[in-house]
Amino acid sequence: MTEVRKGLIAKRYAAERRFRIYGATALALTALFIVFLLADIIIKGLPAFTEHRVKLDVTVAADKVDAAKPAAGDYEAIVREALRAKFPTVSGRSERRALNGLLSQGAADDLRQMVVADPALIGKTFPFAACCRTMPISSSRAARPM
Amino acid sequence: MVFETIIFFRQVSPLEFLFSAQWSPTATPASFGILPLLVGTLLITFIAILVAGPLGLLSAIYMAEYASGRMRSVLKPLLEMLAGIPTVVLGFFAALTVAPLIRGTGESIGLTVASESALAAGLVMGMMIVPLISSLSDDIINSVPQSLRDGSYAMGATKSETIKKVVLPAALPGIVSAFMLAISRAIGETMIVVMAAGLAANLSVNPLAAVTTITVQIATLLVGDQEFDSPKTLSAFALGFVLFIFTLALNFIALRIVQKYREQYD
Repeated sequence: MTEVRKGLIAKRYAAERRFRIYGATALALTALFIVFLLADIIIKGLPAFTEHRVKLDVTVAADKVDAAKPAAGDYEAIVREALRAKFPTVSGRSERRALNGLLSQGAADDLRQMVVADPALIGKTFPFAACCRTMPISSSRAARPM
Repeated sequence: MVFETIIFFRQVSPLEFLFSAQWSPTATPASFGILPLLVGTLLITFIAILVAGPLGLLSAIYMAEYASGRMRSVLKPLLEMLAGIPTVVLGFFAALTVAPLIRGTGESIGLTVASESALAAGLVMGMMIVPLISSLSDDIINSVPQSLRDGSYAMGATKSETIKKVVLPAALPGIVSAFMLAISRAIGETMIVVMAAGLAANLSVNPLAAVTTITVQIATLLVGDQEFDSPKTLSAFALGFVLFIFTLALNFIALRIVQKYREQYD
């Protein structure tokens, strides 16, 4: 066998190996995509099953909630007040805003429902687990104002 | 469909429909130029096939010719799983994960990327049709008679040479039809594009811009309560008709390709 032929065989075998690697790479990429897709959905989906709450002692003052119309009270202010009492070191406008940002809108609604169901709570101080916003979704799209 | 399309063309001239570059059916005066939609559809389909073609075909070749029986029995169902994922799920994956990823990468190298881009939709759609191509091609490559391969090996050809010069030409009709199925699926795909590529009818071939497709416009035109005699609603029929002509033409082209390049052995 001449030198030229030997070179040709080496080249053909190299092409063979390359071709095989292309195929394996294609399969690996596709498999990787499936894994990435599933992992992404699971990782982003799991936080939906967790809930954050902050335990507060809320005081439903009689001057804030009318006993005759318990649904109309300013429950947001009540919850915020309780939250501020829990973190007395917070001062200043922006810090207070950040603190209030912790609360979910549902917190006031929860409290409202509690008081409507049991109007005897008006004028009392009792423990209340206010629900918080969960971790913000870290996607630029979600952060965009809708 | 033809009937409704004719009614539509009584109200909007076919020339305007085919050649105007403005698509805004809800504006007054409404304009019905299909060009931006056609370009968007072709762009996204092109990206999808660019992804799915090589990946699907190479995967199929590897599975059919190189992988061991056990490996194949694991890989094939895994790939087909991808075909079973609802396109809504793929759509929000494209919109919420892939699109921001592309935008982030694009901006880090100094490109302006819309948060909804044709590239994101095309990529995910490409991945969606990979199993379609790979599974069908795999079956077709397997059905090529072993005697052809044996003959090629006897001539001293290596495995990859046999695949490229003998097996693929013999399997060509099946592979082309697999591609045609994939392209039709990509053209008809709605959900991924609605979520990831946007609704803006831009006449643009920039894969980083937001585009829209024929199917998406049909969907948005007919969502909600509509009066069934306005050109806005009727234009959906015209769009459907164009889509139909489109796939018909594709099938015809495919048939000609197969007839021209087919290698008949038995």
